[in-house]
Amino acid sequence: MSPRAEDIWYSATPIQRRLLIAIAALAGGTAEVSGREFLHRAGFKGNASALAAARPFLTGRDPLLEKYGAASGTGSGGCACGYCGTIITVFEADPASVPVMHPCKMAVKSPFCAPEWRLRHHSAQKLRRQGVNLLGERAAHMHMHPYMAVELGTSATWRGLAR
Amino acid sequence: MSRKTVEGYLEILEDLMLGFRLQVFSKRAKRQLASHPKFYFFDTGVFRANRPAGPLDAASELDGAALEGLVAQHLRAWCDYSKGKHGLHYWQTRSQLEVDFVVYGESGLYAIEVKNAKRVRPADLSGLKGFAEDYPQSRRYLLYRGEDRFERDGVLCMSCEEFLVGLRPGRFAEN
Repeated sequence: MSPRAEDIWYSATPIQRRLLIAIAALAGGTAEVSGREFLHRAGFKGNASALAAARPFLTGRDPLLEKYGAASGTGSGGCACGYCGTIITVFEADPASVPVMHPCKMAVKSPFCAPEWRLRHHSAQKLRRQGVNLLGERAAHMHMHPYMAVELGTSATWRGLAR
Repeated sequence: MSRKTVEGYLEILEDLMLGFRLQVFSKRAKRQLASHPKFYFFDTGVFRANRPAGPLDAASELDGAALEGLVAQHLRAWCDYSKGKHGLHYWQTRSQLEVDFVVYGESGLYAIEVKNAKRVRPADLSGLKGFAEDYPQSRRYLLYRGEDRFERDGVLCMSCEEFLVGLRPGRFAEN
Protein backbone atom coordinates (compact mmCIF):
# COMPACT_ATOMS: atom_id res chain seq x y z
CA MET A 1 0.00 0.00 0.00
CA SER A 2 1.43 3.34 -0.94
CA PRO A 3 1.48 5.98 1.80
CA ARG A 4 -1.02 8.78 1.74
CA ALA A 5 0.07 12.12 0.36
CA GLU A 6 -0.34 13.95 3.66
CA ASP A 7 1.68 11.35 5.51
CA ILE A 8 4.56 11.87 3.16
CA TRP A 9 4.31 15.62 3.51
CA TYR A 10 4.18 15.66 7.27
CA SER A 11 6.92 13.14 7.73
CA ALA A 12 9.21 14.87 5.26
CA THR A 13 12.19 16.89 6.37
CA PRO A 14 12.31 20.53 5.28
CA ILE A 15 14.72 19.67 2.50
CA GLN A 16 12.45 16.94 1.24
CA ARG A 17 9.52 19.33 1.38
CA ARG A 18 11.36 21.80 -0.70
CA LEU A 19 11.93 19.10 -3.22
CA LEU A 20 8.28 18.18 -3.12
CA ILE A 21 7.35 21.79 -3.68
CA ALA A 22 9.69 21.87 -6.62
CA ILE A 23 8.20 18.74 -8.06
CA ALA A 24 4.69 20.02 -7.53
CA ALA A 25 5.51 23.21 -9.29
CA LEU A 26 7.22 21.44 -12.09
CA ALA A 27 4.43 18.96 -12.49
CA GLY A 28 2.02 21.85 -12.71
CA GLY A 29 4.21 23.78 -15.02
CA THR A 30 4.76 21.05 -17.52
CA ALA A 31 1.81 18.84 -17.44
CA GLU A 32 2.75 17.17 -20.65
CA VAL A 33 5.89 15.60 -19.32
CA SER A 34 5.23 12.47 -17.41
CA GLY A 35 5.47 12.42 -13.68
CA ARG A 36 8.08 9.73 -13.82
CA GLU A 37 10.37 11.93 -15.82
CA PHE A 38 10.05 14.68 -13.27
CA LEU A 39 10.88 12.36 -10.50
CA HIS A 40 13.87 11.17 -12.39
CA ARG A 41 15.05 14.70 -12.95
CA ALA A 42 14.49 15.49 -9.34
CA GLY A 43 16.65 12.60 -8.36
CA PHE A 44 13.87 10.31 -7.20
CA LYS A 45 14.58 6.85 -8.48
CA GLY A 46 11.34 5.08 -9.14
CA ASN A 47 9.54 6.57 -6.17
CA ALA A 48 6.27 7.64 -7.64
CA SER A 49 4.68 8.33 -4.28
CA ALA A 50 6.58 11.59 -4.05
CA LEU A 51 4.65 12.94 -6.97
CA ALA A 52 1.46 11.70 -5.43
CA ALA A 53 2.45 13.59 -2.31
CA ALA A 54 3.08 16.73 -4.24
CA ARG A 55 -0.06 16.71 -6.30
CA PRO A 56 -2.56 17.97 -3.73
CA PHE A 57 -0.34 20.93 -3.05
CA LEU A 58 -0.30 21.70 -6.68
CA THR A 59 -4.00 21.63 -7.25
CA GLY A 60 -4.73 23.55 -4.09
CA ARG A 61 -7.64 21.25 -3.45
CA ASP A 62 -6.04 19.63 -0.50
CA PRO A 63 -8.40 19.99 2.48
CA LEU A 64 -5.54 20.49 4.90
CA LEU A 65 -4.07 23.24 2.83
CA GLU A 66 -7.38 24.96 2.49
CA LYS A 67 -7.80 24.85 6.22
CA TYR A 68 -4.40 26.40 6.77
CA GLY A 69 -5.04 28.91 4.05
CA ALA A 70 -8.20 30.04 5.77
CA ALA A 71 -6.42 30.21 9.11
CA SER A 72 -3.60 32.33 7.81
CA GLY A 73 -6.05 34.72 6.17
CA THR A 74 -5.75 36.00 2.68
CA GLY A 75 -4.89 39.54 3.61
CA SER A 76 -2.01 38.87 5.93
CA GLY A 77 0.21 37.33 3.31
CA GLY A 78 1.01 34.58 5.77
CA CYS A 79 1.86 31.32 4.19
CA ALA A 80 0.09 28.15 5.09
CA CYS A 81 3.02 25.94 4.41
CA GLY A 82 5.40 27.78 6.67
CA TYR A 83 8.23 27.58 4.23
CA CYS A 84 8.19 31.05 2.83
CA GLY A 85 11.94 31.15 2.87
CA THR A 86 11.95 29.00 -0.21
CA ILE A 87 10.46 31.46 -2.54
CA ILE A 88 11.92 30.50 -5.82
CA THR A 89 14.23 27.75 -6.82
CA VAL A 90 15.60 27.36 -10.25
CA PHE A 91 15.53 23.72 -10.96
CA GLU A 92 19.11 22.76 -11.45
CA ALA A 93 18.50 19.57 -13.32
CA ASP A 94 16.56 21.40 -15.98
CA PRO A 95 18.61 23.36 -18.44
CA ALA A 96 15.73 25.57 -19.37
CA SER A 97 15.50 26.76 -15.77
CA VAL A 98 11.83 26.17 -15.41
CA PRO A 99 10.68 28.61 -12.79
CA VAL A 100 9.61 26.87 -9.67
CA MET A 101 6.97 28.61 -7.74
CA HIS A 102 6.13 28.32 -4.16
CA PRO A 103 2.67 26.98 -3.58
CA CYS A 104 1.97 29.24 -0.64
CA LYS A 105 -0.24 31.59 -2.62
CA MET A 106 -2.16 28.63 -3.96
CA ALA A 107 -3.20 27.87 -0.46
CA VAL A 108 -4.85 31.25 -0.13
CA LYS A 109 -6.82 30.79 -3.32
CA SER A 110 -4.89 32.98 -5.65
CA PRO A 111 -6.51 33.55 -9.00
CA PHE A 112 -3.35 32.05 -10.38
CA CYS A 113 -3.94 28.68 -8.85
CA ALA A 114 -6.39 27.89 -11.59
CA PRO A 115 -5.35 24.67 -13.25
CA GLU A 116 -5.30 26.24 -16.67
CA TRP A 117 -2.21 28.22 -15.76
CA ARG A 118 0.38 26.09 -17.45
CA LEU A 119 3.86 26.78 -18.43
CA ARG A 120 5.84 24.45 -20.58
CA HIS A 121 9.52 24.86 -20.38
CA HIS A 122 10.14 25.40 -24.05
CA SER A 123 7.91 28.43 -24.01
CA ALA A 124 9.18 29.76 -20.71
CA GLN A 125 12.13 31.50 -22.26
CA LYS A 126 9.98 33.00 -24.94
CA LEU A 127 7.61 34.36 -22.35
CA ARG A 128 10.40 35.67 -20.24
CA ARG A 129 11.83 37.54 -23.15
CA GLN A 130 8.53 39.36 -23.43
CA GLY A 131 8.89 40.40 -19.84
CA VAL A 132 6.20 38.17 -18.40
CA ASN A 133 6.52 37.54 -14.71
CA LEU A 134 6.85 33.79 -14.62
CA LEU A 135 6.07 33.65 -10.98
CA GLY A 136 2.58 34.80 -11.76
CA GLU A 137 2.68 36.85 -8.55
CA ARG A 138 2.67 33.61 -6.65
CA ALA A 139 5.63 34.54 -4.55
CA ALA A 140 7.11 37.63 -3.06
CA HIS A 141 10.23 39.07 -4.62
CA MET A 142 13.07 40.01 -2.35
CA HIS A 143 16.09 41.84 -3.59
CA MET A 144 19.31 42.66 -1.86
CA HIS A 145 21.09 45.63 -3.27
CA PRO A 146 24.54 46.99 -2.74
CA TYR A 147 24.82 48.98 0.46
CA MET A 148 23.13 52.32 0.63
CA ALA A 149 25.06 55.21 2.09
CA VAL A 150 22.91 55.15 5.19
CA GLU A 151 23.82 51.52 5.81
CA LEU A 152 27.48 52.32 5.66
CA GLY A 153 27.21 54.62 8.62
CA THR A 154 28.24 58.20 8.96
CA SER A 155 28.82 60.54 6.15
CA ALA A 156 32.52 60.52 6.97
CA THR A 157 32.75 56.77 6.57
CA TRP A 158 31.02 56.95 3.29
CA ARG A 159 33.31 59.67 2.08
CA GLY A 160 36.25 57.51 2.97
CA LEU A 161 34.88 54.64 0.96
CA ALA A 162 34.00 56.78 -1.98
CA ARG A 163 37.51 58.09 -2.25
CA MET B 1 27.44 44.62 -34.16
CA SER B 2 23.73 44.46 -34.63
CA ARG B 3 21.31 45.98 -32.18
CA LYS B 4 19.78 42.59 -31.52
CA THR B 5 23.13 41.13 -30.52
CA VAL B 6 23.83 43.93 -28.12
CA GLU B 7 20.38 43.54 -26.68
CA GLY B 8 21.09 39.86 -26.17
CA TYR B 9 24.26 40.70 -24.26
CA LEU B 10 22.44 43.18 -22.09
CA GLU B 11 19.80 40.58 -21.39
CA ILE B 12 22.48 38.18 -20.21
CA LEU B 13 23.91 40.83 -17.93
CA GLU B 14 20.45 41.41 -16.53
CA ASP B 15 19.84 37.71 -16.02
CA LEU B 16 23.11 37.45 -14.15
CA MET B 17 21.89 40.35 -12.05
CA LEU B 18 24.91 42.37 -13.03
CA GLY B 19 22.85 45.16 -14.46
CA PHE B 20 19.39 46.54 -14.89
CA ARG B 21 17.55 48.67 -17.37
CA LEU B 22 15.41 51.69 -16.73
CA GLN B 23 12.39 52.29 -18.87
CA VAL B 24 11.29 55.74 -19.84
CA PHE B 25 8.62 57.22 -17.57
CA SER B 26 5.56 57.51 -19.76
CA LYS B 27 2.61 57.81 -17.40
CA ARG B 28 0.16 60.31 -18.88
CA ALA B 29 2.88 61.45 -21.20
CA LYS B 30 2.24 64.74 -22.93
CA ARG B 31 5.04 64.59 -25.45
CA GLN B 32 6.84 62.14 -27.61
CA LEU B 33 9.32 60.27 -25.50
CA ALA B 34 12.41 58.23 -26.11
CA SER B 35 11.66 54.57 -26.37
CA HIS B 36 14.94 52.90 -25.46
CA PRO B 37 15.75 51.75 -21.97
CA LYS B 38 18.85 52.92 -20.17
CA PHE B 39 21.31 50.40 -18.85
CA TYR B 40 23.16 50.54 -15.52
CA PHE B 41 25.36 48.09 -13.72
CA PHE B 42 23.99 46.96 -10.38
CA ASP B 43 26.94 48.52 -8.64
CA THR B 44 28.84 51.49 -9.86
CA GLY B 45 32.04 49.74 -8.80
CA VAL B 46 31.45 47.17 -11.50
CA PHE B 47 31.22 49.96 -14.02
CA ARG B 48 34.42 51.51 -12.67
CA ALA B 49 36.29 48.24 -12.88
CA ASN B 50 35.10 47.31 -16.35
CA ARG B 51 35.03 50.56 -18.20
CA PRO B 52 38.23 50.75 -20.23
CA ALA B 53 39.95 54.00 -19.44
CA GLY B 54 42.75 55.28 -21.60
CA PRO B 55 44.44 58.59 -22.18
CA LEU B 56 41.63 59.61 -24.53
CA ASP B 57 38.93 59.20 -21.91
CA ALA B 58 38.53 62.29 -19.83
CA ALA B 59 38.33 61.44 -16.15
CA SER B 60 35.33 63.70 -15.78
CA GLU B 61 33.42 61.66 -18.35
CA LEU B 62 33.91 58.50 -16.34
CA ASP B 63 33.14 60.20 -13.07
CA GLY B 64 29.87 61.56 -14.37
CA ALA B 65 28.62 58.15 -15.40
CA ALA B 66 29.91 56.56 -12.21
CA LEU B 67 28.14 59.13 -10.06
CA GLU B 68 24.95 58.59 -11.99
CA GLY B 69 25.30 54.87 -11.42
CA LEU B 70 25.83 55.42 -7.72
CA VAL B 71 22.61 57.39 -7.48
CA ALA B 72 20.87 54.76 -9.61
CA GLN B 73 21.83 51.93 -7.30
CA HIS B 74 20.71 53.92 -4.26
CA LEU B 75 17.36 54.80 -5.77
CA ARG B 76 16.81 51.25 -6.87
CA ALA B 77 17.51 49.98 -3.39
CA TRP B 78 15.28 52.70 -1.95
CA CYS B 79 12.40 51.68 -4.22
CA ASP B 80 12.68 48.08 -3.11
CA TYR B 81 13.17 48.68 0.57
CA SER B 82 10.49 51.33 1.00
CA LYS B 83 6.95 50.45 1.80
CA GLY B 84 4.58 50.43 -1.12
CA LYS B 85 5.31 49.93 -4.74
CA HIS B 86 7.81 52.23 -6.37
CA GLY B 87 9.26 52.21 -9.81
CA LEU B 88 12.50 53.70 -11.02
CA HIS B 89 12.47 55.23 -14.49
CA TYR B 90 14.13 57.91 -16.46
CA TRP B 91 12.60 60.54 -18.67
CA GLN B 92 13.67 61.74 -22.07
CA THR B 93 11.75 63.49 -24.76
CA ARG B 94 12.40 63.29 -28.45
CA SER B 95 13.63 66.85 -28.22
CA GLN B 96 16.40 65.61 -25.91
CA LEU B 97 15.10 67.05 -22.69
CA GLU B 98 16.28 64.58 -20.11
CA VAL B 99 15.86 63.77 -16.45
CA ASP B 100 18.19 61.10 -15.13
CA PHE B 101 15.79 59.42 -12.73
CA VAL B 102 12.11 59.44 -12.05
CA VAL B 103 10.79 57.66 -9.00
CA TYR B 104 7.09 57.01 -9.15
CA GLY B 105 5.20 55.27 -6.42
CA GLU B 106 2.85 55.48 -3.52
CA SER B 107 4.87 58.09 -1.71
CA GLY B 108 5.02 60.45 -4.63
CA LEU B 109 6.67 61.44 -7.84
CA TYR B 110 10.29 62.53 -7.73
CA ALA B 111 12.53 63.67 -10.53
CA ILE B 112 16.26 63.60 -9.96
CA GLU B 113 19.00 64.98 -12.12
CA VAL B 114 22.63 64.24 -11.34
CA LYS B 115 25.46 66.54 -12.28
CA ASN B 116 29.09 65.90 -11.57
CA ALA B 117 29.98 69.58 -11.28
CA LYS B 118 30.70 71.99 -8.46
CA ARG B 119 28.34 74.66 -9.84
CA VAL B 120 24.81 74.59 -11.10
CA ARG B 121 24.41 76.12 -14.52
CA PRO B 122 20.98 77.24 -15.74
CA ALA B 123 21.21 74.73 -18.59
CA ASP B 124 21.42 71.91 -16.03
CA LEU B 125 17.89 72.69 -14.94
CA SER B 126 16.26 72.56 -18.37
CA GLY B 127 15.34 68.88 -18.21
CA LEU B 128 13.75 69.24 -14.80
CA LYS B 129 11.89 72.36 -15.87
CA GLY B 130 10.50 70.49 -18.84
CA PHE B 131 9.45 67.70 -16.54
CA ALA B 132 7.78 70.20 -14.22
CA GLU B 133 5.63 71.49 -17.07
CA ASP B 134 4.28 68.01 -17.68
CA TYR B 135 4.18 66.91 -14.07
CA PRO B 136 3.70 69.95 -11.84
CA GLN B 137 2.94 67.72 -8.86
CA SER B 138 6.40 66.19 -8.93
CA ARG B 139 9.22 67.08 -6.58
CA ARG B 140 12.44 67.87 -8.36
CA TYR B 141 16.02 67.56 -7.24
CA LEU B 142 19.28 68.48 -8.79
CA LEU B 143 22.22 66.70 -7.21
CA TYR B 144 25.60 68.26 -7.75
CA ARG B 145 29.02 68.17 -6.18
CA GLY B 146 28.87 71.51 -4.41
CA GLU B 147 27.93 72.12 -0.79
CA ASP B 148 25.12 74.65 -0.90
CA ARG B 149 21.49 73.84 -0.77
CA PHE B 150 19.08 76.16 -2.50
CA GLU B 151 15.97 76.22 -4.59
CA ARG B 152 15.92 77.54 -8.11
CA ASP B 153 12.99 77.47 -10.54
CA GLY B 154 11.16 74.97 -8.39
CA VAL B 155 14.15 72.64 -8.26
CA LEU B 156 15.87 71.80 -5.02
CA CYS B 157 19.60 71.82 -5.66
CA MET B 158 21.59 69.91 -3.11
CA SER B 159 24.84 68.11 -2.61
CA CYS B 160 24.77 64.60 -3.99
CA GLU B 161 26.39 63.21 -0.89
CA GLU B 162 23.87 64.86 1.39
CA PHE B 163 21.08 63.42 -0.68
CA LEU B 164 22.44 59.88 -0.64
CA VAL B 165 23.21 59.89 3.06
CA GLY B 166 19.73 61.21 3.80
CA LEU B 167 18.09 58.55 1.68
CA ARG B 168 16.64 55.85 3.84
CA PRO B 169 13.82 53.39 3.29
CA GLY B 170 10.48 55.06 3.69
CA ARG B 171 11.95 58.53 3.62
CA PHE B 172 13.15 60.39 0.60
CA ALA B 173 15.66 63.18 0.90
CA GLU B 174 15.50 65.20 4.09
CA ASN B 175 13.41 68.26 3.73
